[in-house]
Amino acid sequence: MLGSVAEILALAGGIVLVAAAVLVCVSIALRWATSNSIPGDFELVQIAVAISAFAFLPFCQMRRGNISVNTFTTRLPPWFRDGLDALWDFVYALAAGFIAWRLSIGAAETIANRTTTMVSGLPIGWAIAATSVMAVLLAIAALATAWQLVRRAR
Amino acid sequence: MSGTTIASVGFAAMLLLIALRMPVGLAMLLTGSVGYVSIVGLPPFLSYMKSTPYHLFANYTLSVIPLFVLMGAFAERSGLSSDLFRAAARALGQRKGGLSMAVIGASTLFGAICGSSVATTATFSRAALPELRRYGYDPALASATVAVGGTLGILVPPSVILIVYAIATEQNIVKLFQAALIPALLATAFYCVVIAWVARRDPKAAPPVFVEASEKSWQGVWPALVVAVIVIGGIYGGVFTPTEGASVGAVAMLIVGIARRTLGLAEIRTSLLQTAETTGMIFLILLGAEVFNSFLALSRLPTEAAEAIAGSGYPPLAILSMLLGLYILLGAVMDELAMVLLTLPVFFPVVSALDFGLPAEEVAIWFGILVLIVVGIGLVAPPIGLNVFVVAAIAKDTSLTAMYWRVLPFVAADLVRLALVVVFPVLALLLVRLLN
Repeated sequence: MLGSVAEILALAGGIVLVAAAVLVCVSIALRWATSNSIPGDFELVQIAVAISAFAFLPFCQMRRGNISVNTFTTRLPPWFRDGLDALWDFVYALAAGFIAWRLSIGAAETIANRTTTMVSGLPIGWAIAATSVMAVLLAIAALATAWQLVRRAR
Repeated sequence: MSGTTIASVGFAAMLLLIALRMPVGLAMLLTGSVGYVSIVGLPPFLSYMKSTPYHLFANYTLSVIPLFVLMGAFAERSGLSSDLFRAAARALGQRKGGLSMAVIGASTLFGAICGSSVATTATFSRAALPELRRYGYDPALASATVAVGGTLGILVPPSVILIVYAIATEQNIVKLFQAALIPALLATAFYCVVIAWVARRDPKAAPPVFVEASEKSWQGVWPALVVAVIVIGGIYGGVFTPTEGASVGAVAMLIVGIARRTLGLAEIRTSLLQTAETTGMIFLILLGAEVFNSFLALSRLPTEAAEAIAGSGYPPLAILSMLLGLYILLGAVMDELAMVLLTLPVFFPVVSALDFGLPAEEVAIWFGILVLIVVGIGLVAPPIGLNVFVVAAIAKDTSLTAMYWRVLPFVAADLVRLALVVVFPVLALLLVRLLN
């Protein structure tokens, strides 16, 4: 269930990324044809990449795509390695929860200040709020992977 | 405790956590956070974390990474690598070792579209490895060729490692991409020389063969060539920024794939998920490195280490060689991306403080290319060459030891190339000087 939520979120992030790439192409074409590009196109790319990168994190965790070094632990018994991995998943969940908390405060302040991007005037606060929500999903994904390891051990 | 003591303890703790299988990005994030708090206290850290994760990911320079990953994923899923390989195999197959050379040549071209060595290795493991074995090539040699060819994914621009280097050291990505080209073509030439030498000594391992390939494989090659030339040429010539080049490349590869009917909905979906996994992995490491490096900067360890080493009186080339040697050792046991991000905050100020008789910017660019070459060596050298593992995961019947024996002559060629670029910085800097 959670796996498919993470996958849908990752696909949505991928579509946002493709959309940003298309937008840049249109902007370049306009620049050549009319010497006026889409104003603030780079700000849209920044927001799109930040949102899609956060959307990718829960999926990456569910797939165990994060790099770790296993050179020094190959001789440990499998249950011990699983235990370590479960512990680190739990730590990752705490870190993601912390990041979500801090980002939510950052988002609230930015929304209250009405901070917008320089050229296109987009409200940045809502983009930060979106990343905060996805950090919550990341924390849930990390807890789920920890739980999978614990259940396998029993 | 002084800042440098805290930083040393932080470094040790981080390495210990990494050795205990903690994901590398998380280990940097955690020790960086604890170190940050212990130097300046909790309130500044809480305020730092309110905006940093967002603003780091919303960095325009960084946005080039997921876009290039996307472009590479579309290229990979649309079967470009097998077209490139077939075209090259038809041209080179009759020579001794010709199919191995075809892998190297096709990897070089693919490297101009893909910025990741693991992706390049994986795609040629599927596209070329079975063919080489079918034509009677020694399985270990075939696997070694694919693993070594995979390093061209990062040696040829675009290159994820170079982008990360540019961000970590605040250098110009375009100039780094320009500087990488001549050393990358040298790598292609050296690898082909090694293959010719191996094929002469051991003719049974790499027999000359005649490869039937239809005209269709050329139809797959030319659109890819055009895209690569537009993207790399456009970035070199300043027609567009790297982010714009990557966007154009990603959209162009998508259109080419759809037009050739090799990218259906299922393949597009796989490409997007692959992009998600790779980007997520890279961005977690970038976030960890950002926090850890802020902590290091607060501790003043990098500046003090740089002053101490630069003032030690050793000749600059000796210090540089020592650093590169350290990279080769680290690269043998560590993930290359994390290694670069972890060491640069300390190594880069050291190198910048040394006098090589070059302007500061040229030293920075030259060092970036040297780091790229040692990272390439780390990707194939025993005991932990990531590319060799990627091939071994697909060629399950070939022993790792046999593969490493076949990799060694290529590593020797890489060391010669590294020495050449150390002694003649102009190999990296020539194109930068000509184009700017």
